[in-house]
Amino acid sequence: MNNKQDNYSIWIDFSLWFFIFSFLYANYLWVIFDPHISTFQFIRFLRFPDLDISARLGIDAISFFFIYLTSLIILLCLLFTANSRNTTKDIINNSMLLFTVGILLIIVFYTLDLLVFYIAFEAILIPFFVYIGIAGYRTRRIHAAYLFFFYTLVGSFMSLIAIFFILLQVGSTDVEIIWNTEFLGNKAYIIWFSLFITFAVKIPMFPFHIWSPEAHVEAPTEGSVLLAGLLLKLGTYGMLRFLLPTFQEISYYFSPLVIMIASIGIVYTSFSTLRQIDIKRVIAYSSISHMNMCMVGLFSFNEVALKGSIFLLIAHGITSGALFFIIGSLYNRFNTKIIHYFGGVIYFAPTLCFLLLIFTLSNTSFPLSSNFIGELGILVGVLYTENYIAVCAAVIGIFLCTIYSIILCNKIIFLMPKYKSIIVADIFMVEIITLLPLLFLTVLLGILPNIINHHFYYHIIQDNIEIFS
Amino acid sequence: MYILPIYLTLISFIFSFFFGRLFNNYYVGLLNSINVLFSFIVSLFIFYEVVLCRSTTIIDFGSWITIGVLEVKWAFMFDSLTSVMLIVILSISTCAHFYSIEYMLNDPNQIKFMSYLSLFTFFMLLLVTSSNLIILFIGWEGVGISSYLLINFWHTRMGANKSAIMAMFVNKIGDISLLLAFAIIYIQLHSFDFTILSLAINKSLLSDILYDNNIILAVLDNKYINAIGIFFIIGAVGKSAQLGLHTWLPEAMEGPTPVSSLIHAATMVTAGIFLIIRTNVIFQCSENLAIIIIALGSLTAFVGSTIGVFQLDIKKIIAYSTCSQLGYMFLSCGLYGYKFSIYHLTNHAFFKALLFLVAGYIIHAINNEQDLRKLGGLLKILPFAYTGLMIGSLSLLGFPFFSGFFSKEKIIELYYSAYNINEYNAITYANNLMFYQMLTNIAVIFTVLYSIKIVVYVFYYTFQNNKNNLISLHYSSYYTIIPLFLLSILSIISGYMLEDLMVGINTNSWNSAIYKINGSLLQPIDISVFEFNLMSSKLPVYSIFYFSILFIFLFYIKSNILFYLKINAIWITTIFNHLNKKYLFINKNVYYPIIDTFFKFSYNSMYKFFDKGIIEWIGPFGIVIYTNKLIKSSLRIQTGLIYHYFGLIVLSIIILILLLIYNITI
Repeated sequence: MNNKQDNYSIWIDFSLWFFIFSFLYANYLWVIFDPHISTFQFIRFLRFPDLDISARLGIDAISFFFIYLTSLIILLCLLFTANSRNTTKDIINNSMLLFTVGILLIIVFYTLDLLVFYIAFEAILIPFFVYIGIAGYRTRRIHAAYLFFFYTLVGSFMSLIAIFFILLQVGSTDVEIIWNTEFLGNKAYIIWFSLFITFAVKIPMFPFHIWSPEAHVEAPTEGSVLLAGLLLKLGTYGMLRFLLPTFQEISYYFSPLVIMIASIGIVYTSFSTLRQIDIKRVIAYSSISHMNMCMVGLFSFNEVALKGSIFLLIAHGITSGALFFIIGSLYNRFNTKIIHYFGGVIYFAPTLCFLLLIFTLSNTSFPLSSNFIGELGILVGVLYTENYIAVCAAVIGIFLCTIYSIILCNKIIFLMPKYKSIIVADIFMVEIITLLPLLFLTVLLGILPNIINHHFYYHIIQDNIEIFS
Repeated sequence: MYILPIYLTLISFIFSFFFGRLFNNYYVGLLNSINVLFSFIVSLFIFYEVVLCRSTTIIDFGSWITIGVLEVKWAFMFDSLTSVMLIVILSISTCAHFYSIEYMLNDPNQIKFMSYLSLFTFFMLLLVTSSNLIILFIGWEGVGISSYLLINFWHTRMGANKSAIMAMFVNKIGDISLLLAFAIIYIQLHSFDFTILSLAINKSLLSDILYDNNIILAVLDNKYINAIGIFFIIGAVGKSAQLGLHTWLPEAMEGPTPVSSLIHAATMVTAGIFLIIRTNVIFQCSENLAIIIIALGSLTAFVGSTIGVFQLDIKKIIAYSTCSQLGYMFLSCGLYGYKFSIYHLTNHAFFKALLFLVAGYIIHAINNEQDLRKLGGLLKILPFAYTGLMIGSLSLLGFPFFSGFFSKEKIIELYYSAYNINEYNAITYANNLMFYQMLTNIAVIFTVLYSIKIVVYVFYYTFQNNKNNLISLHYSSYYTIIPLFLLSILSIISGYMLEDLMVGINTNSWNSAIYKINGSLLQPIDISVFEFNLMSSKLPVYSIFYFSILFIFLFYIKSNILFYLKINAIWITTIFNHLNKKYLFINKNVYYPIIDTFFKFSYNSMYKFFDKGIIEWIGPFGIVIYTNKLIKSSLRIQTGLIYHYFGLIVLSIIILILLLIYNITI
């Protein structure tokens, strides 16, 4: 940081300190958060008196951990950006974009209003579209940015229809009012489907998933971290927050369909991953597979599976984020992401390899790592509902995840270095600072998962859900 | 004190992995070894308290996972089975640790090696001391990953990488099925605890508790017992290298020799056996499961020993013999002789660890030469290795009054007591059993053959290798000698010393570890010892005597007797090739096609056809292309010629008028 002192921008400082403060405040919130209250806490109002609009903001156990994750990961991304090899101008651009995305994400997770949620959800597209577009040197990135933008946009317009329907009937888009409203007839189906497609594109589920690997590959390191760690969670968060509690019967009615699509997604993406040669693409596909496993858990209407999948969402946010950071570090050293060029990295960067191995193990749901808790819950819960196809899909997913992760890890870490003239440095202090909190969280959540789980003990999605009990 | 071994091994891993590089590798190794030695001494106390004083202990650290109704506790159980396993693991681990201070001294990564060994010991302790299935699973996966790291320790070699990945994948099949079994157990019993499991299945015990204490427990259906049992068997087959998933074990010999000794002979591969003994209530409930286990075990014993005869790498021979001995333990579980299984496990751990360490001693001395044909005449050069290998081999082949004799003999005798177990279709069962007994007896003969082959090839004849290797011969120091000496002593006496304690008639030392279910099942061996005449039940002993002498003579007459046998006829050569290449036809027709299909399927069908094919054509590319086509075709209407537009206008007016006439409303 010192050698860049002279051309350092106030903006970078501001965005860093803002998120340092917000992360510390999120930690403070964790302390004062009361897990025994089954309604929302820390309620604030967004008031626009001229427009006669007021929207509520509030936190419950589900949104709290996403806010925590957001503030942590955005902070780490900003750190990573501020110390990258780019020019100062690029760094300022990137940190502005990251800052915007971070603020919008916190709004998305904090809000209790469908309209505000929708606006922030859409608004994330713009900085992210720019972020993919300006990064890198490959012309393919334009294609990836378009794919990302249009897939999500088309999906999101569907939810605009849903919002219109809801506004026409209810007159408000507040979450708790929507939850307690009964939508009848075809209207309910239309709202359900339009919301479902919005979120399914974002997760991404089977037919809509191809934007995800492209965007992951073409985005810069911080962009991939954000995509895998947070943006993919928006879909499942939306389902948890709006779709499942509002339309319990319809969700239950369509759950075999959803589980079927998600199972296809798991098997299909797991198989596709086996033959990928781009490291980022491997992790991106594996993210899709894990997200679909979460969908299986959410829609199996079982308490254990539901809580397990929420846990897996948080755990996967940590793990995949860390993996993309490590891949970024590798890319900074070797200037390539193709597996075939790697080998024997342990000779140059043993610490980096250690971290890569730990997070890869976490990705394969090794016990004592955070992902294991979630996947155990999902497996037990889904088996409890006797949905054997979903069980088979989950098992294939876990098995193939081990195969491609270990092959990837082995090819990078071990064997002889392919090009003996290339000598790289071990992990820098900034990268250690970036990865250590994630390592700490992964291991901590693996050994003491109840620090998160006991927040879900008394309620999961409010009291008005009877099917879950 | 009970948890001390777990803490000590974990601390020595963390210390040597993260801070070991600040110190001298010799002292870090010594520190790790002394930690493990101290754990071993603690385990002796545990053995005294638990087995001899009969106090089963459960240590509860509170809740680990709470997901809704799913609850898992950090709890450790110390019963007789655990404490015997503790002694086995920690004694072998101590020997391997001390041995590798010397063995790996010239390796730049010795500290990492020692820390991995400690990590492995930690996970293995977690596996055997667990009080519920999920903590067992931590150990199960943990030993898998530390085995992966240790096989791949010399990671520049392609062979080491390949075999490490193979071990990982084959084990993962078992892990997945184990996870499924846990899930089934959970949804039936709402608990992962071993105690609850045994109570729920052991119906007679259950009924007592139900009436006495009003505890309501679910009772497992027979359907679920079979499903759980089969998944457990797949898990155990993966870990214990039984037939079908056995291929990883011989390949794992790429690792350093202390690893082969500790992990792939004595401890980790016995985890599958341990699992079956630990959950033996499930297997005592179903005869179908028993016959599956017997079949797998005896076939593995047969196949492992037959392949072992034709191998020429000294470590591979011992590895295949491990495979075959694990088969004995496995089939003993199928014959309801759980205590014989654990007895053989203990003895086998000692003599197999000894064999591997002696092999490492020889390999280390003769410039890392593992090929049997390039050794020879070492009797004068390495007399101590000769003593060790002789003791280990005699024990392995079941020569009377060595430790292997006591346990292996009893397992083979166990067949006689199993013929009357099945009441429903006794004849079919007996026929099956006869076949498997025959396989087991043949396996004994092959065991004799390869054991004698090793001893004769390595220590007799003349020295076959380069003269420089003799000049630069490397004699090991006391760090290597003392573990070998201790293991030799143990290989001789452990069978005799432990017989009455472990498998004596009506022994009480197993307390609750091995359940006795009241019902139609007999308690096999206690009765059968006296039932059959000595001639038939002692058949293996006579065959061992006979074939030992025969093979010694054969090898004495002609050193390359197997070679002449091989070139005698073409069909013998074919059989030899198949056996030498580890049942080549199965590999070619089963394993490779499966892997090929998987990878081709994943690329051609999944990635190329769907991801880059259909979905892209329906999605982005298709939309772009068809929009372009649409634009082009609509452009064709706008030609810019007046009479074209005029014609269109006329046409549309005519259509409108027609619609009006026929009164068609849109």
